[in-house]
Amino acid sequence: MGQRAILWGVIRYEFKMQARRRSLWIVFAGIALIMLGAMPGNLFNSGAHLGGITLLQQVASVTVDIDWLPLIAIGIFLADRFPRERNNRVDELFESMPGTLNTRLAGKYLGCLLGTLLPAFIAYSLDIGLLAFIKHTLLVLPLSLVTYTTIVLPGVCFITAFTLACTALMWVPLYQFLFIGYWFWGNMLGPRIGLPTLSTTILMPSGGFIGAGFFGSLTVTWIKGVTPLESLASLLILLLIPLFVMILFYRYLKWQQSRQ
Amino acid sequence: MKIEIGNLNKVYRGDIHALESVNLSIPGGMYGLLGPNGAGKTTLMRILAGILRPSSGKLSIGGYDYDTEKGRVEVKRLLGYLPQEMGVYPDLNAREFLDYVAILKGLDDRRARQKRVDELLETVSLTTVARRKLKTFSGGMKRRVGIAQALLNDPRLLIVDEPTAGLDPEERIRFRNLLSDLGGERTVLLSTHIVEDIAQTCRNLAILKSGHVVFQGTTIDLIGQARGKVWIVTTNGSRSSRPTGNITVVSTMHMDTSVQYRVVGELAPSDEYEAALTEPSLEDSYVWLMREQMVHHSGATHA
Repeated sequence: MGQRAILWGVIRYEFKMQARRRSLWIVFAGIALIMLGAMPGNLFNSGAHLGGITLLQQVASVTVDIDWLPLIAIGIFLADRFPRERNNRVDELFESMPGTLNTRLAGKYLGCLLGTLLPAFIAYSLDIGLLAFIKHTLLVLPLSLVTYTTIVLPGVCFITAFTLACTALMWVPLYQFLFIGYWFWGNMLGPRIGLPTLSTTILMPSGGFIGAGFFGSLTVTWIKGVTPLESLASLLILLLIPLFVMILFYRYLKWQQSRQ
Repeated sequence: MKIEIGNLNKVYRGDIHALESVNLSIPGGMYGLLGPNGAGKTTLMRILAGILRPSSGKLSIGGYDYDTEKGRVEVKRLLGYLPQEMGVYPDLNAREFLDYVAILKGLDDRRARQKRVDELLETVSLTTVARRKLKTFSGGMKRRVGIAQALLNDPRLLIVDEPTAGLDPEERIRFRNLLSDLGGERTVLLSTHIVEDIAQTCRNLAILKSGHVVFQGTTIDLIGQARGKVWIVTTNGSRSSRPTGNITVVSTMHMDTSVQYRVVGELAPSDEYEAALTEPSLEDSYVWLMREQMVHHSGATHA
């Protein structure tokens, strides 16, 4: 039996179980409405009123501006995915099966990520649809795909890995509370506040750093003069850290199994 | 598939000795593991299922050495396991859940997998509710899903831990018959504290108490040990006529004008009641054995 077939099966079912959650769709519908209402402000933040701003810059700026709230929701909705195995008592059953921990973990990661991303992406698409309508050009659509993949996805990968790993160690509501705090501290606190923060570094997970360097996004006002190379570094680090976290997480679970 | 357990120990954190020097030789077919709650049955089942590691001792299943990772993986391929507390994903239906477990067990051909799932749903009589979410299932229905998932890979070794706990009488009988049928062509290890389940299904059994094996052999051997120790005592129902001696009352039945007791042990002679020896059941024999163990234990403690 190929591990690939098991991986695909786990992805499919984890996706299905996450995407079936009614609360997920209700929350993201609400977020879509909020984002639609905030579009005039987003457009202003994107510098649409200024001269010499390209459409790509505007789309990137809007992407950075509207992704902070969905990313928080993604973190919150992912938080119960790992503990639910223990809570539903399926972990004992799965542990009696041969050598599937690494594949199950990888499948859970991808399936949960995609299942949570689906409503988030639909909400984003609605917002982008409005932008295309305002700008009278369908070119917004392919550009938004590029900006979403580059700016938002690395952050989602980052959040998914940390959420799965951290919730194996801590109570889900506590994690959700700490995650929201972290999100504001690491992304939304500018240097003016005087607190040390990740929001001025390549570790900024909401994609402001990536957007500024690659596309010249203007949304995060304190991020200026970022080069594409720095953005590439930010993108790579946001993709490599989750990989590292998942490897550590797998080792931790193996160690835990061997101690039982 | 023969299982050999040699001097097996399991010590949990806090110096809790769940199993102590367990030696067992389990042949093919149905094999019962009986014992009171807390005897160490579930610990032993979990070790055999590869979920827990023993603290020390030897374990060989079907010739595979359980000390090695390779041996454990090979055994897990041949294993079907129904845990004591069988969990499910409540948001999946029965067919989806079984399909998911089948994927994890390595049934990669989609058509063959679906066929197997359908067969097993039929075997456990869940075909008509196969598309209902598992959160709507009763305890008995979930148990049936549990046995179906354990059989997905057509295991050579089936480990079932307290499978009939919480089932109604009809479901319990159905479950026992199903296990007996399965035991004809594989090793089925049935762990329970319900003596009747063993009596109806197993010829061989072991009894665990406080982490020790206190008996292993056939049900006939066990019954033989209690022969001459089981009495039917008939009294007039007054307090003074209750049976006395070093006995355990197994059952009490109030008749129209008398009370009938079934007792195990050394009955004291009395004019107050009539006593007649009777053939022990497996339950009587189990009670006798547990009494004997208690006597030995308290004897050892006092010494």
